Amino acid sequence: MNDRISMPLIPGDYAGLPPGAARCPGPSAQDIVARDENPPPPVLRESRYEFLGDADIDYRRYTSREHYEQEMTHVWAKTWQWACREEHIPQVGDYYVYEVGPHSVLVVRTESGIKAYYNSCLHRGTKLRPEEGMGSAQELRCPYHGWTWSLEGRLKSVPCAWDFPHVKPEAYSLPEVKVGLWGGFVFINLDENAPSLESYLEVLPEHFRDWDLGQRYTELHMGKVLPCNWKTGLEAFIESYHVLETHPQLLHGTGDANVQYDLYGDHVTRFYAVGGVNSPHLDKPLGEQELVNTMLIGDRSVVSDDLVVGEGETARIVMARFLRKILGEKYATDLSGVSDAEMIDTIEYHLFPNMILFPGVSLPMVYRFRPLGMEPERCLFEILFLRPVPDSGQQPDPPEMVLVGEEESYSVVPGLDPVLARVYDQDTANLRSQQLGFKASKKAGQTLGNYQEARIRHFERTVDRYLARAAAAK
Amino acid sequence: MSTEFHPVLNAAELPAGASKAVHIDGHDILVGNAAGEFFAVQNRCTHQDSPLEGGRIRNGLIACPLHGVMFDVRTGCGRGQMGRVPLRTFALRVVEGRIEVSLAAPVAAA
Repeated sequence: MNDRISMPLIPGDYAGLPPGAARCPGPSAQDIVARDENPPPPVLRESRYEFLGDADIDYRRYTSREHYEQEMTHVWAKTWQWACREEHIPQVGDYYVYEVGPHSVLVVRTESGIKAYYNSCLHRGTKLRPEEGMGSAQELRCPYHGWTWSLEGRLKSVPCAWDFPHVKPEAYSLPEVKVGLWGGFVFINLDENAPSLESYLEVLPEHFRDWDLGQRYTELHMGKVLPCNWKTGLEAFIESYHVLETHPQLLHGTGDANVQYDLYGDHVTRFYAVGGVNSPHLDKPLGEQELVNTMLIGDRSVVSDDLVVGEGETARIVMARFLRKILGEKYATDLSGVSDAEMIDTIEYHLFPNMILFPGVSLPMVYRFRPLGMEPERCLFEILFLRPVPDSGQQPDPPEMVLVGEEESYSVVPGLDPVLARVYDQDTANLRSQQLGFKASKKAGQTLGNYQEARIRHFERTVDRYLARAAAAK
Repeated sequence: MSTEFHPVLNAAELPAGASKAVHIDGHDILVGNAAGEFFAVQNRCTHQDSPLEGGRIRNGLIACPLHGVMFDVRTGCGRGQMGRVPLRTFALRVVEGRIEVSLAAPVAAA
């Protein structure tokens, strides 16, 4: 689709445009999708960008213990975060322990709905449930001395109660953490005065009105501990600028430099990467048939040999039609109303602080980046695949997280497409040296592209806004 | 150790997710159904000695009703710091709709 496009290699003034106004030469994402057979929904036909400045981003934000501690108090204890999926806790008594930094929250399905508690015994502080992840019980009993609460959080029994005349049961209910539900995700917020989840989500409910993630189930859940700050990790996944150097094998079939970047409120940004086209960087663009043969589709096991581009068709149209049929059959669900873009493009939303979600059907991921303990330079990167719930409503139990070792390839994960495993290996291989490079640098901060790395600037600005709010409240 | 199989239950009595305690030669054994696959393990959590009967079975793991410690029903391996000691597992077979358990260890799956 793209002819070879000449691009300058030395930055500087660009054609007299104001900062942030320049775009990759060649067709934009909007130009490309305008030619689709099944056009994308209106939310994908809009773009929203503003120039947010071009100052460097200080490396200490990623390395300093002081900044990290500020984030723990003023970001992580103030924001809505998804703790688990509803299908992780389908029955009364099922629970999920969600941890972030030093915080630990016990999310429980009760007779009266989903509740969340601080995961700490009111006797002497022991975590009521020591392990992260899914479990099940009919009451919450501390393993240390056996103090026991009902699932609703009421104190039920204390061994040797005669020794605790000063413990009034009504004052010893488990303190609750705010809970909100959206798209099959259970969100928590440690701030009892937090605004509602609905207002926090900004444009997401509207954008996802026809992408009901509540009608998905968790097919795959994998995690990897990354030797970097949680923001270092996250920022590697909210720009496509790195594709050219880090994932050269993806240039066939990905419009990398013509990705569209959108900035909404403080909490939401998006990129929209069009698939089934050549990168504007390619010297020798592929033909439409060759493009079909190289597309990244998330699950190569479903590919067969009958992908032929007919007269007057594009790779996008053929691939979307093919995947609609194949994935519809595999997941026993009707995809006939899904646009070409939703079938094959990489549409990625970031919800502050740490949730990245993809409404697409063939690459149906959710990412989460979590700081670990009080260590500024370690985080857990999780990937979930959310597949459509079959029309029968029957879905398998949600899987336990498969943990990939730092030195291990993602290819050890059962069921993960090796093409995608390689991409994640390439992504995560940069992060240790970036984190170490922050500290080796003479220069004080990162320099960002005005357009392609705008989401990073927007994200860091929101961190700053939370910290500034806390400072102003003092 | 005896490798003799003892009939304990009708397979039809144990739907997916159910478990029932049985006794063989003084051993307290939990027979259960994990999504269609029958298993037999010791009916005593290795964490703090509570019976496992009735614990929720999901994803091939049984959760102890007392503190929630989880064990893989095939291997007996526990999860996390409270599950360091594995459960003993027992050989099981289904003969003409009857579940039979022996005190021998199960033959490892190929």
